[in-house]
Amino acid sequence: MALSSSDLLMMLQGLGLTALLTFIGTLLALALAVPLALSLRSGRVWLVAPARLYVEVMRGAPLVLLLFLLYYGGPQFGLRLSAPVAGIVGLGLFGAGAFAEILRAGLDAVHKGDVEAARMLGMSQMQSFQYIEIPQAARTVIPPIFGQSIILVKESAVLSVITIAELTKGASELATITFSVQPFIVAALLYWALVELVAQIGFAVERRYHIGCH
Amino acid sequence: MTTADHAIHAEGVVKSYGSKTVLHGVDLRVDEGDVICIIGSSGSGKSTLLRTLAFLTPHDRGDIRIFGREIGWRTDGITRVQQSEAELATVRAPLGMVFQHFHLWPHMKAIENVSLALKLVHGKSAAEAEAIAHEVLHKVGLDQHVHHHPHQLSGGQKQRVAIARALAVSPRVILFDEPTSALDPELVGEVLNVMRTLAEEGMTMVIVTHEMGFAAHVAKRVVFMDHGAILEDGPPESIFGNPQSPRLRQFLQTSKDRAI
Repeated sequence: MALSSSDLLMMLQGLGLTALLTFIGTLLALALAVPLALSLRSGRVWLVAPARLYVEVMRGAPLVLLLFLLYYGGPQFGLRLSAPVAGIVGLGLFGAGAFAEILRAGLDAVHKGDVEAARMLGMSQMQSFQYIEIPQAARTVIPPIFGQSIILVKESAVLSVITIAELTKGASELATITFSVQPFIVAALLYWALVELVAQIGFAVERRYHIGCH
Repeated sequence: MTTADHAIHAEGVVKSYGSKTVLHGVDLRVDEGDVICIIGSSGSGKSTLLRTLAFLTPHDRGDIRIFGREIGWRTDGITRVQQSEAELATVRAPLGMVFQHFHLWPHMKAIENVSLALKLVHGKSAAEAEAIAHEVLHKVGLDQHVHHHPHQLSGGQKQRVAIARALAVSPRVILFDEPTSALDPELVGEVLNVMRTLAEEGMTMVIVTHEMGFAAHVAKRVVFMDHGAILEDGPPESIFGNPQSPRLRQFLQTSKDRAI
């Protein structure tokens, strides 16, 4: 049985929601990852230890558990989030762990001698960070940042378990009604298209900032 | 003569990594106008000594003064504490440094590498900073490469940009850490020529090097290091012409054999 145009429209709406929630979740994850990465590199135990614990927990826990805790467990602690907000916060908290490690590694990859050269010329730690370390690290982290963003696009499928009508949810509802696997195949193609779009944006950004790298 | 008259005065400098001591109480005096080459085999502590002079490698004991001011440490009662960032920057200001691996900032053009500190640290306007950068890049023979990024330059050109970057902020002493060791043999000459010119102009220089010919012809004093200590310190004629210690004689023989 072929999918009707209204079925397709529903799936495209699901795709739109997947894209929107993942996008906002990724921005949130990046925003949280910056202070985490700086804490990891601070060399101060009282900053490193909690940041490290956070990264390890987020790396070790499945996203679906985090979503259950936020959406179903949250109200027990007075935290009432709507499903989309819980989804975004879940993706943000989850992604932040991975992004923090990427940013930390990117900053660590800047050659120590480049920083020493800056210090020998009288630049302060902040000036060296702003003008020497961040611009170089930014170039290094672009490919893994986009790679991790693609993982978040795909991981967002589990947002369906907290009743969000994103792409996977739409496909499984249609499949139940139509007794067909077609919706799943369409969903897979739509995910692929979205992932490909993110990857292409990533390549474009990488090319744009390639100057000066080897 | 007081210590304030010395550009650099290091006394009893000790540096250890764990149980391995790499500098055993080294004394070194550098006066203004001196060109000092530090020679010795790999692992003898030459580079470590040079880095401690700028406090890039903090020394464990001893006292290093730059134009009379102690660098790196401050005595607070009876305990020694590290200087604040601002304090260290002030004491370090007369020193420039040229590294073995250049450490040009890869995301900036040659002129940006040279002018950045002028703008950020010395409060020059963009136009003033660029004028100075053009001047020093001209001095090292790189007029044609002002707008090149480091990856578009040869090793010798990179090192000359690095020298220009150090010169731009008008240091009173430049420390060179094996400036030609990472270069292809045919590119060594162009860097040594720039350094020779600086020496002739009276720049105070401390150079860790394996270039014995350069040390013999350009240095005012040659310092031979072995196992974390200075074994001999004197004019090049006596170091190369009349070495006292068997260790220096052996070292010079080995370098001579290798050169053929």
